[in-house]
Amino acid sequence: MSAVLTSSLGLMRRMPPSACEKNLAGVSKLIENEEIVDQVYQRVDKPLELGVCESTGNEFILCEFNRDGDSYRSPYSNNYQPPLPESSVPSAELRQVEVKANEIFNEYRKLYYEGGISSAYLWDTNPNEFAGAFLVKKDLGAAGITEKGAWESTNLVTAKLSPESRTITYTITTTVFLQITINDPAAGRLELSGSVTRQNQETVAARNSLYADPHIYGMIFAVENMESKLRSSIDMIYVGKTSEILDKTRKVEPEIRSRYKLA
Amino acid sequence: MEGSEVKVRVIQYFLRNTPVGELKEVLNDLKVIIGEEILEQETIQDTLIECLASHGATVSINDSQAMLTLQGRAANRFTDPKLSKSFIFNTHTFEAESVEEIEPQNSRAQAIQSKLDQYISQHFSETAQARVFSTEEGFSIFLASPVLNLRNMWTGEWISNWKISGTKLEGDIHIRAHYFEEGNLQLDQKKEFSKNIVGDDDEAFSQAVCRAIFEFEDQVHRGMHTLYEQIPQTCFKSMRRALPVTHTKFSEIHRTKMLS
Repeated sequence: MSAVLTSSLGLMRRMPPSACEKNLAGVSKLIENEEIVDQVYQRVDKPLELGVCESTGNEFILCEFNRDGDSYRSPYSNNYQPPLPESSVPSAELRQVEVKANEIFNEYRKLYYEGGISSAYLWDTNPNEFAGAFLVKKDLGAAGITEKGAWESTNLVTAKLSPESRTITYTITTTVFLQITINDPAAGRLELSGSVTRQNQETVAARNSLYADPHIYGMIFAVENMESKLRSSIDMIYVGKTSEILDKTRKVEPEIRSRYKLA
Repeated sequence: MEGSEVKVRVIQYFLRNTPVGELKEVLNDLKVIIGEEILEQETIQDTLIECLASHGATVSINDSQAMLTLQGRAANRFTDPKLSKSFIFNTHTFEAESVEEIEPQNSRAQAIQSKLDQYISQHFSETAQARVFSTEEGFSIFLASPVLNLRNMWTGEWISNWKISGTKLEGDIHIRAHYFEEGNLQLDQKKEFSKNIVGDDDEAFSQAVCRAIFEFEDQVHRGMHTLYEQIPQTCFKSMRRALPVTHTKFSEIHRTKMLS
């Protein structure tokens, strides 16, 4: 990785997560090399946007994984919007798997999220290997103490078949971006936002060809595992860490540092 | 590639949005991205000083910690009314230079300073500092409590700014936290206050000012504790369930599919 890329990613990790697009637009004005600008855009998790499929009217998620230039591919129609004459689409075989992956992932979403939108995008990488992005976006309006809130999870999964050992290895990188805004009469306006990323790898026995149904389930099981892990550590990270820092800046209970200190 | 005017504005944006205690790291990254030359420009150096002052950075003068504040700043010379000193801040060495003695504050400002120092020693981190300035309208107070632990990937600060005009005290509290292990998570909290202060002599007046600041800050701090207790149950729960309604995981429902 080039030094400029490393420093750009380092810089992005210190800027306000709620202003991600502004931060990226800024850094792209400083970097001379356009290739590195592209790499920064690919590596930084940006807020997920929604589009509407022109053929089916269904909403789908716009992200790096279904983008080509300024167009995004609908997982429902497989068409780029706005249309692109020479665009890359999955092979017919993989497209069948993708349609199924969207159906199954939607089922998964309904179990864990009341509402929200999910999309899955697949692409071929190497022989005996393919990759998929499984995304969920859920916006919360004003409810209870929250003024607004948002959950976005991006699961990047690669499935690699090893014909010799008859195993398949799933490598998953999950990023959850969470944002809440609260307006409280006593504490004021509080905004908590940011993302946490985790990686995992697991190998299971492969009884079928790479594109067979069990592997779609296998990938979504890996997603379930990671999202559940992250979900259970979110209380500890978002609330636990920031409140720990808060209580280090100021103490509610007075502290007597020196017994002999004169009033 | 953009013109240098745009670049300067972008660099200023990054510096102003840098969490407390992380300016050196951000400057190092900027140096790699765009080179040292542009960072040496007067506008950038000026913004750097402004940022350090807005976080209440400190610098050693003999055995004391002098505080950089926006209130005490005139170009690159700073006044520290508590130490009765003025100095120039060197943005390369991060040290104080050409230190000069200045007139001590008036007695009322000194009384407020001493009450604030007591409050800080009891309720804030050991790195916390506050300064009281006499202004045309009355007084201006700046309090900063930074806590830094870059090795464990977190920083945070409690900042409050207050103005006293006649008998009116008004100001705001701004709390920020940054946790960046395997991610980038930030807390940003703000609350404004105002109140009338009653006190005849220096002692009663300074007591009333510090009492009011203490009460506002305590309200915010306790209020945040209450919110923190509610967030997991209210906000997080409605984002994604920990388990499906049926308590049966997706992988358990479809386990047999893997064997087909």
